[in-house]
Parts: sequence; C-alpha cells; structure tokens
Amino acid sequence: MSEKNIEELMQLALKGDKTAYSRLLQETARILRPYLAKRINFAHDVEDVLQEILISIHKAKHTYDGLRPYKPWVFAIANFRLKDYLRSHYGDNLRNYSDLSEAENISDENVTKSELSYESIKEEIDKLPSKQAQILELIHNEGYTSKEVAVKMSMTESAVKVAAHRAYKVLREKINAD
Amino acid sequence: MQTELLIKQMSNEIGVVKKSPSPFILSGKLIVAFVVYILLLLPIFHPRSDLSEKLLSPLFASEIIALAFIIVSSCVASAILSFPDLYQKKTIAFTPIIAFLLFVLVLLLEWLADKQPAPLPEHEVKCFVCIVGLSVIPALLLFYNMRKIACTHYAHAGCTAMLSAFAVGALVLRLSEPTNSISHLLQWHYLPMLIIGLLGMLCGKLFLRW
Repeated sequence: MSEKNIEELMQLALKGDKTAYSRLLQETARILRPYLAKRINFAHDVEDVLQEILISIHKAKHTYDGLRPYKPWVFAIANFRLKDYLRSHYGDNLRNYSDLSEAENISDENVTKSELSYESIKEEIDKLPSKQAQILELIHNEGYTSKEVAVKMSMTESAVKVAAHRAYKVLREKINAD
Repeated sequence: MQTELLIKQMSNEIGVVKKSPSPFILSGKLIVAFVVYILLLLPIFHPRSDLSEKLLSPLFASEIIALAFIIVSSCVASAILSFPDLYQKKTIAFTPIIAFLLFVLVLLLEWLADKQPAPLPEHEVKCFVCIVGLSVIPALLLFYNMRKIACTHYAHAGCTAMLSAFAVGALVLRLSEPTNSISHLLQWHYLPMLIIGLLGMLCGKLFLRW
C-alpha cells in the first residue's frame, strides 16, 4: 500500500470511518512488525510492544491532521514506545543483574561440572525450560564452557551460570524426591 | 490479547476525531494570553519610572527584545514538542537555544558596558520569589495545553515550557523593578530562570506522560 493510500485511510478514519481505521491499523501493524522484530529479541515482546504502539496511535490520533506524511508520525510514536520498552527491559535486567551476581557469589558449586552424567538424567533435563535444557546440553553434552555458551546464546556469562545453577537446583530436588 | 482483536476493538471505538490545533495556532493563542497577562500585571506592579527613557537605551531595549524572543521561541517550541512527530518541523524545537544565546550575548554586552557598576538593591531573593510567583499562571497554562496533545519528548518540552513561563515572569519584573545592577539581574533574575528552565525537564517527565 502506498504512503498516499495510508494517508487517505487516516483521513477517512479521522472522519469516523471504522473500516478505514481498521485497515489503517492493520497496515500500520504490518509495517511495524518487522521494524520491531529487528530491534527486540523476544518474539512475544514484539507483539506486546506492537500492541502498545497501536494503543498509543489510537490515543494520539487527534495529533495527526492529515496534511503531513503519515509514516514519520507513526514511527515517532513507535520509537517512543520502543524506547520505553527497551528502557524498562534493560532497567529490569540491570536490577536483576545485581541479584544474579549475588546468586553467583553465594553459589558454591561449580556450575560447569556435575557429579551426575548428562545421559543418566536426560529425561529430567528435557522437562526443564528450553533455555535451561539447552544450556545444560551445551555444557555437559557438547563440552562448551559457560563463556562459550554465553556467546552462542547471546547471554551474559553470569546469566548462563545462574540459569545452569537454577536447572541444577530443580534437578537435584527431583532426583532427591525420587 | 491478540493484535487483531485489539484492532477490531479500537476500530469500533472510533468516531469523528476532533483534531488538535496546529502548534502555530496554539502557540499564537498562548503568546496572546501571555501579552494580556503582562499588560494586566504591569499596572499592578507599576512600570519603572524611567521605563520610556530606558527603552531608548539600545542595550536595555535589546535585553527586552531578547527576553521576548525567548518567550516566543520557547512557546512555539513547546507547542511543536507536544506533537509526537514534532509536527515534522524538528528545527523549530531548537530555536530557544538561539534565543538564549542572543540573550546571553546581550547580557555580556551589558556587563562589559557596566564600567561603573550600578548599586546593588537591598533585596535579593525577593526577586526570585516574585518571578516564581509571576510564572505560575503561564506555566500552568502551557502545561495544561501541552497535556492535551501527545508529547514524546518530555524533558525537552518541559524545559522549553518552563523557560517560556519564567521568561514571562522575568520580563514583567524587568519592566517594573528600578534596578540597573547587572550582577543583581544575573544572580537573582536570569540564573534562577535558567535553573528553573532546566528543572522543567523533570516537570516534563512528571506532567506530560500519556
């Protein structure tokens, strides 16, 4: 759909045309989805941020006069909400990072080594969340170090160690229970 | 909730949308309101007795014009900054910087011309309190109108709004207070105006969220 058509849709929408508005929002979502996917790592977050942006467009529709190009207006709102998301996402990560460091410090076991063999508890490992299972597989089955796993999975080394630590904890509880 | 469902819900909600006024119309209205406010306040505060004589002095007149330029440029910038896409006129949002630099230049020239420093007035902080008091209404008016739009640059918008409002207060006081001491003006009129302008960033973050 051309830029001119989108603007026409928006002009109709501002006059109260529900169908035009629905088409406009669908087209906007179609434009924004790949833009967000490039900038956000987690697929479910892409959809959440997209919805936030669509709500913001809905709230700010009175600021569009139909005379200036539509896309710069939409992308201004999209960037604004994307920055909000990234700020809160990385803010949370930073807050958790101190927790992770603490967890790393108090963890006395060597998370890259385990007395249990990988094969013997493979079934239990497969029941873990996929990320934890993948980390254990890479470390114990394929022989990667936690640093290499971190690079491979685009995580920090601390996060890998803590994920592994959590996985061990769950496995230990399960094995002890058995 | 699925995006498709959300789109359907929002589409059902839409009616005829009342568009925001253009930032130029909005800022024009605000500037007219500020002029009326200044004209109402001047008789109350009594214009300085030597005002007509001082207005003939190039430096004093330049200072007043520069202050007025700050009011106008900051007000227009605030209105532009209230729009998510800055009304696609980004450069206008930065004109208060030019206005402020011109103002600083005028003050510098006044400072250099002040070879026999004028006596310092006895009051000091009273001027600052007065400017704050005079600026409350313009600030409220600006923020009230900006909140009705959809700002995406909270800090910048808050800063320009506060600068504009406090320049109104500073202008009223400059036209009524019979002091010629440039150091007093810098210390108790214009420096606080700049600091409050910067504090406006925080106000923007607090009051312009949507």
